[in-house]
Amino acid sequence: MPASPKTVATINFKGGVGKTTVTWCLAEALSSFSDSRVLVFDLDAQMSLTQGIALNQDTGFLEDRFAKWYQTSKDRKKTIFDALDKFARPSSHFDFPVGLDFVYQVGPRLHFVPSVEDLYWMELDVFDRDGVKDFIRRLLGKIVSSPKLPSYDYVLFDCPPSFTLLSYSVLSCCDLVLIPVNPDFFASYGTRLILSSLKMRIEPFPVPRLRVFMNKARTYGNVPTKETKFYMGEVARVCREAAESEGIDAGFMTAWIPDRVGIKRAIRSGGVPSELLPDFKTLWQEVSTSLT
Amino acid sequence: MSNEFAFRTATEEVEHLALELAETRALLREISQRLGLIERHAKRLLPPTAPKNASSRPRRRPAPAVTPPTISTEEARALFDGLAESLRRGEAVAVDEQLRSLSVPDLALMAKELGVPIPHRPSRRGLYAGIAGRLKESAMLSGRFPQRQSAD
Repeated sequence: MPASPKTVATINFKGGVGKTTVTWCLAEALSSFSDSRVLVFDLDAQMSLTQGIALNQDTGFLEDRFAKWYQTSKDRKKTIFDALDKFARPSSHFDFPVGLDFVYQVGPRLHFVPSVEDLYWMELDVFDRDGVKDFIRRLLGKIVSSPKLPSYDYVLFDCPPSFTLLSYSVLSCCDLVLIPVNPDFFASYGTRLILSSLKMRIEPFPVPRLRVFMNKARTYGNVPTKETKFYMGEVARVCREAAESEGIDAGFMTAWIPDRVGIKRAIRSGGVPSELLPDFKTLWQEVSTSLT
Repeated sequence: MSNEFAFRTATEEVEHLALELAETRALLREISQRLGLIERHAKRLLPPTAPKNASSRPRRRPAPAVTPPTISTEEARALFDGLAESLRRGEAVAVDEQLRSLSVPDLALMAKELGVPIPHRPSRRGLYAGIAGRLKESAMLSGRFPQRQSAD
């Protein structure tokens, strides 16, 4: 039986903190500069990551290769929504073989499961919320045992900025939750909300490890500004207090990612800019340590 | 541009903005020149309202002396942490009194350490508001809302 991949879910209930960009940059850096095989899921019905990968950076139009693959996946009912729909049907065996019609090959070691618009309505259609919580766990099992897919070392989930069925399903089974915050009050407050409510939300499942880090850090001379450091200190304190009061493994990482235009364009321009690669490698090293 | 609905390219946008800036600068120069003319004209026409002597000239306030803070950056940070902890415990009045007892240079140092924007000539009121804002954020991030602060 092949080894299960380590799973990381990126989440924050505050939109715009950079969940999608960071998820992608970590996956791209990891798959490009190491021998790791990475699978990325876009679980957000807004489809930001899917659009970023799908759109050609030069023309702004849908990338031909992805467009053809995407249409085929939809025609064969092999999207993430189809998988969930199959799983959620009452008294139905989860018969959903997975292969390269479900997973898109971005690169030799970077594969991707895109989102679909149908996920918008999923919350309204599925009534048995508890019945869906095992979905991601079962789907990962199919991926691991599929002879048509490679063995992945890591699976990264780009979660939506709200507590949806899919995010519930991921949080119930992932190894680590990565929470990017920005140097402002509202992003930091979102962290407190997640840390204080996660245990209650996903019980009886064990709470995964939670790691928070500063994203879009404002810098002066490549050093975080005093304002950024203030919020780093505050979020670190929130993590300590939550770890104590909730009895969870929550920590604030020392690695941080600066606020740079090049990072925002990374998805559509083919990868992390070289001058920012060390920041993402440092971040991943802390993530990797937390996974062991 | 090929037609009126086409968007400008990035280069065209920069050129367009440069043109707007140049036009605005020219406008400001003209306004400044006209104001100067009006001022000179008014001075020739209108008699002075008061005799020019030392007693009637308004006294200029001396520039405030630059006093160094009495605390170090580490002490400022530790002081803030103490105030934040007190506020989280609900001691809003004590926090307010302690903050108001600090000198302007000490407040300015604390505000700087917290990343609060400080104007060229910081006022006690502005510095107090900035630091109080950070204290409230810290308390709210702990899930404890501070009591209503006294009006400054």
